[in-house]
Amino acid sequence: MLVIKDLHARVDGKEILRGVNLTVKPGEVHAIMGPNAAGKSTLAKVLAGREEYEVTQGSVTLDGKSLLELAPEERAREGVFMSFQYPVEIPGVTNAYFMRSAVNAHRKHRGEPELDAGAFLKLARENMKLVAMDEKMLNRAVNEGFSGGERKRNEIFQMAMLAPKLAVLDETDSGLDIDALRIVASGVNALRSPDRALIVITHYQRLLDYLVPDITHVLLGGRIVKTAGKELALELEKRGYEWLQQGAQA
Amino acid sequence: MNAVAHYTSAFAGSENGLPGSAVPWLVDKRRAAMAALASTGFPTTRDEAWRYTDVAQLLTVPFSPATSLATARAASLAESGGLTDAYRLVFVDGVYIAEASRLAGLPDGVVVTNLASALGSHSDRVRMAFGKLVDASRHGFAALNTAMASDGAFIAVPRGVRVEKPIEILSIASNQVQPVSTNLRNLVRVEANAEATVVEHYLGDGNAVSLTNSVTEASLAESACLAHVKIQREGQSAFHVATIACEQARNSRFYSCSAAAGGALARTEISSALLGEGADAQLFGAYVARGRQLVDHTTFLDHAVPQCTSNELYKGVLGDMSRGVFNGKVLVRKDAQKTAAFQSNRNVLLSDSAVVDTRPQLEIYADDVKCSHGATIGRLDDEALFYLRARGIERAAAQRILTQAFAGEVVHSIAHPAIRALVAGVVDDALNRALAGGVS
Repeated sequence: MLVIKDLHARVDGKEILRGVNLTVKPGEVHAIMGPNAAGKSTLAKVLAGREEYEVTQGSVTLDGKSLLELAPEERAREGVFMSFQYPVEIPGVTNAYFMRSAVNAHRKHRGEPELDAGAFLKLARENMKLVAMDEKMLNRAVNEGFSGGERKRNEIFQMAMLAPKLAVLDETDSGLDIDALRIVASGVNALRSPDRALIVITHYQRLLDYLVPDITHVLLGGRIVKTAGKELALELEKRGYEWLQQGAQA
Repeated sequence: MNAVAHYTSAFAGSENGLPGSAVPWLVDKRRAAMAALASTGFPTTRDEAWRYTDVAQLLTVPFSPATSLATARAASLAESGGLTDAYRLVFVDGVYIAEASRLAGLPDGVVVTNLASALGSHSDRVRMAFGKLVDASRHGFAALNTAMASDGAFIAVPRGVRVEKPIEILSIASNQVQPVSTNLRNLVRVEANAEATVVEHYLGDGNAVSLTNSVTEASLAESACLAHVKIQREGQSAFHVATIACEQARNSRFYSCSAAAGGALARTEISSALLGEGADAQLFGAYVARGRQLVDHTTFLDHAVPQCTSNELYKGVLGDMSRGVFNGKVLVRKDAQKTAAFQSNRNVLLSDSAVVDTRPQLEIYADDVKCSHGATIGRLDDEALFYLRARGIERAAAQRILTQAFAGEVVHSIAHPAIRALVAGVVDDALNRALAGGVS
């Protein structure tokens, strides 16, 4: 489904990704772990199309279609979803208006008729249940005054609404207490399916107790330096990343 | 011929045709105003309150009162552009059009009529109000209006009466060949415990060069409540200067919202004198400009007595090479203890060539007050824009959503649903046009 080949990217003239290779198949859950400044969030942002990140080399394809030439909104409509590490507050725009605009942009792209207010509300209610979100959140401004947990739940709610092919969860566990983490993880688990792939970017193993990956990668110095099964996460928790530094610098 | 000479001669030629030409006090007032204009002239950028708004170009155009009127067209424009469920006075190029107006069903004792009629039917009240809050000494445009006012609205709401439906003053600048000037003088009096909503709505029919120079004087008695909404959406070549002045007795409430979307140059000056304890003034404004438009809001709040409150929020979105001006002054006099006054001006620039000049000012002579002011000039939030796009929303749609939300804070302050919807439509249309010019 997703094929990343020799991806190099830089921001402010500094090279952050230095040759990432990654293949993700439908139904798979990949964890990408690594210390701070390894390039994890950069990878997520490059996949989502953030313009400040300049791709200097390599390719990214989704079902054979190159993503790098596409605008962020086009990638989203092709089925790429990124859950933000720091979801933005948008005063004056309600969650309902935001999501209805987004859902209808996707539907228009697929040649489907737009959802009216009633149909939207029905769909939204169903999906809010996944992350135990109060319906009142629909009429609040996007993320405005939301707690850390509410923001992350709102991200997963959006993922449910947009039903992506590929979801990239960028540090979804950051700033969450254990209860919120469980709710978010169970929401994501409910959204796993044989034709949907997940990339879970995380600093800690904690999230992976609830969101068990098929494959775990270590990103270090802008490259993937180790790939193994879910047991790798546990090993990293015990040993840290230093034992891998050698390989990264080579 | 310079502007003052032009208007002096225009006044001499039209004086006898103006309403009240047989009313001695008004004749005197008009002549005195013309003399004041002749001696002080029009404002220039050397005048503090006009520093960023240069009217030199406006003054090169020889505007004259209209000589012919398309009244049938006015009626249809009023129907399509105005509020559906409102009392309405329609003026085309400053001339009252009775057949397009709608005054049936007014509550008992409420007077809504045109100024020319009120000079006959309510002569004493007109005499008391005309020039009380805005006189010829304020500036050249106020003097010109005083001298040349062709008509306007006269609105009086008696004690304790609540007028549910809005009263709309609809002014249409028609598509004339020669440059036409409109000088409307509106007088509003709301008696004790009475309530009314007045909408000043300025429409342009086409892109003719026109000058609208209006003055509104509003007086609020004890515990009176006036909501005043001004909608300015004249054509691209229109010049617009409006002066709105209010005086407030004890516990009265004045709400003002100015939505400015049209015109080559549009200046709205709003002032209120808080003269009785407990008076409250809430001033809001939303302005959207593109091309080479200049939009100016100049406000003055005079806290003369203790325990009054005021709040101002003006928000602008400026595209292309347009200019936004905000001159806001709050004066807290020595005796006005326990004053609470807040003032904010926020601007979003869509292009590198757009400019905002903002001067929020507090002048405080009392020591026990809560006052603050602030101004911001920024761009659309990149993070928010990316967030919306990352969910599949087209860039242009995301820009529209963000600018609408920005201006929406002002639009949502309008209590009356139909007026709010009308203003939202006007603002959204203007935002779409401004965004179409590109965002850099």
